[in-house]
Amino acid sequence: MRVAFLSDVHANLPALCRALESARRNGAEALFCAGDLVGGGPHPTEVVRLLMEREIPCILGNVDRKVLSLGRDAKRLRRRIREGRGAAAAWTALSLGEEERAWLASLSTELRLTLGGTDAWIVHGSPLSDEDYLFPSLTARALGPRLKGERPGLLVCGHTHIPFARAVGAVRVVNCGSVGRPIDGDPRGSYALCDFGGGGRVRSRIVRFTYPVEALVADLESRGVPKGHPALYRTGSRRAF
Amino acid sequence: MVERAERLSFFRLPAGRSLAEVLRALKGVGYGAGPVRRSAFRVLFFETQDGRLFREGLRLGLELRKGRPLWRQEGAGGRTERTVPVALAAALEGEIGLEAAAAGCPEASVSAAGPRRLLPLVRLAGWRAEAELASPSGARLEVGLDLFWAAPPEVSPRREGPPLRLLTVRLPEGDPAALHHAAAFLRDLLRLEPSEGDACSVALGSTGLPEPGAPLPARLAVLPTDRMAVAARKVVERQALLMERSSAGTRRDLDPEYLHDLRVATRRLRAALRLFGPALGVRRAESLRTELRWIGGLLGAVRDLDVQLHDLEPFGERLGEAERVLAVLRADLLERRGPAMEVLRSALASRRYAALLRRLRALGGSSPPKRPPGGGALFVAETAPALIRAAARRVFRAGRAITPHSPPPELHRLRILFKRLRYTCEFFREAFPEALPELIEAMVRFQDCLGEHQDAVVAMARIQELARQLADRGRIAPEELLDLGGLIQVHREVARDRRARLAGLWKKFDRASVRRTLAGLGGTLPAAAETTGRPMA
Repeated sequence: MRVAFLSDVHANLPALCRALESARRNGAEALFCAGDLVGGGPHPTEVVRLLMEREIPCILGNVDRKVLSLGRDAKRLRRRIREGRGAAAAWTALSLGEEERAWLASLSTELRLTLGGTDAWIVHGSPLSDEDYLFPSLTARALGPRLKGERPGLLVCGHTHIPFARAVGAVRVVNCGSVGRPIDGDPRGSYALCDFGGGGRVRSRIVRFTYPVEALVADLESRGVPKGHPALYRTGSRRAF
Repeated sequence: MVERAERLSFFRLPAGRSLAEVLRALKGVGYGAGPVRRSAFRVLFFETQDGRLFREGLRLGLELRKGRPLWRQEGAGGRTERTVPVALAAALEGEIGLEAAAAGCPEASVSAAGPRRLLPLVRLAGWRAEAELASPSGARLEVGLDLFWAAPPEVSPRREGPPLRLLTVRLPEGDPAALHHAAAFLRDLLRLEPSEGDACSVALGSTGLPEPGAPLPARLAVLPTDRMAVAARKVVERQALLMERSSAGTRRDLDPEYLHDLRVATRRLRAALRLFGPALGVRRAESLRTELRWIGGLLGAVRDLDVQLHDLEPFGERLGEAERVLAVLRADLLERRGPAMEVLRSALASRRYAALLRRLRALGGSSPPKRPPGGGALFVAETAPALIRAAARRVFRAGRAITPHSPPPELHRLRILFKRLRYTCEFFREAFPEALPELIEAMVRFQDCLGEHQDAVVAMARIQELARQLADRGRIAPEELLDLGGLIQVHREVARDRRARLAGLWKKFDRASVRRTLAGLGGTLPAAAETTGRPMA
């Protein structure tokens, strides 16, 4: 069974569309999204709408949580945008429709499932917190306490926007990177593909795909997204969200 | 993606993809779609010569739907439809007077057009399929697919070859975000390519007609870091493009402004070839200038008559009851204009003119040689200020020698020098955006005043000549002769008035701040710039 794991779409519709297309072409039978669906990009409504309609199981990321916590008082949100206090999140909160917001709020912070006989655990940052980071340099010693005594066959995460897939001790850890906001110097989006064989065997790889960055940049500018930073999308360079 | 006033989005729909497919995809992301309605349509778009409606974000079409003609205006205020008398349907068939064809159109278009005439622009015929969409947020949208053929306004579109296909998403009212969402899905989910413009723009593009008022390509802006050989080609290409845009309109003689614009473009080209001659190759530039002088002479002959015809009414009003003599004068001017226009028309349709345009295009689009001659390797930032200052020095020298009693030829000479300075500044306007626009404005005021003086002098000479001819033939009554004398007097007063204004305007031009601006012209060169050769000026 082949499964695609996406993460950190950050309201980038062109990238999400290309990721879905690429996953389909690569033979993915199921898709999961590990959080941070919105925030930073110009298409929060479209991204949520597409994920809703395609019935892709998703979890909540730290940015999604922040957006929801800002509430829906338009006056307050506009003031935040004006004053530059969490302006990007406020802009996203203001853009989301009622239905999209309700769907986002209904998401859990983790997913546990069994895929091809393997126990998979999907979180945003790490099992400890959605703001914790799992980098490629992760060691078994560092991972141990984060698993809270559990031993999943596969741990899927995102948040760092730096993709990797490797075995850490007895656990295969897959960080999907970012669909819509890569920061590792490669402007292409990334997601993870996992093949689940029988008996708990898992093979995983990172897939990079291109998307029309200029279309995204045009929307960032035309919709007036605060702190859009088009150059960072063009270069895939780092900037804290 | 073109979004006019955030109410419309346009996409190219490739052959083989249908409206039903688009609606299915949108339904897949939560949209609701109504039934598809299909109808045939024919439309004749209207625009002013200089694209005033386009610049105001308006599009005006006379549309024939179900046998009934109606004005359809699309713009920031939404869509306005107005039925018109069935007789006007003839405009859609081709033969109807222009004034009548544009009668009764919506006020916004009339107001945007101002004093300019609304002229037929392009003709479309085809089918339209439309459906209503309800977005997940509850907004109402309209999506339509137009399949059409296009033709210039004089002919009916021939339904040959594959039709043009344009998908339009329209938001009649409500939050523009709803349109953004739908457009983003069409672009990213269906991978539809955004169209550069609406049906009218697409039709113009397919027929090779220019879009009036459309800005020139940004790549033709002269930058301070351009080599002079590159800048020269940009200027030539820019003016050649303007010439091409005005040529068809001049030939059709729909509006005298086409002829005016064409004449201005040829003048600027002559000035550019003179200025950049060394960088472009002197022999090539001189040969092109000869050809431009030929067409410029023919254009000038008609334009001078157009100016006098235009001035006839306001000057006649000042003269009071001189209707008969005005009619005589108008008849004389029209009698001269007819043959002059015919000569011009055949020149514009000639191989010689086509070759001129082709040569100008080839020169503008060519790459400069590795080692361009005549200072062509120098940067604009270091060369253009010297060129502008040299032209300004000539103006200052001639202007300071002018007295209240200087003869008209001296004033005319000053006017020509002013024009050269102004054109030089305009060629480099984008390279020095801080300094030049203000300088150009100061020049325009002075130059306009000199132009009005010159027009009055020419008109006086023309009327004197006409009076002499009519008197010789004994075809004029003494009182009419007196009226002609009165008209000469009106022109003389105008000339005197403009002459009196010149001193004040000159003071505004020949002042310390202008001289400081000229002295301070210059730009920063790129760090790795290596210059070769000697300055051109």
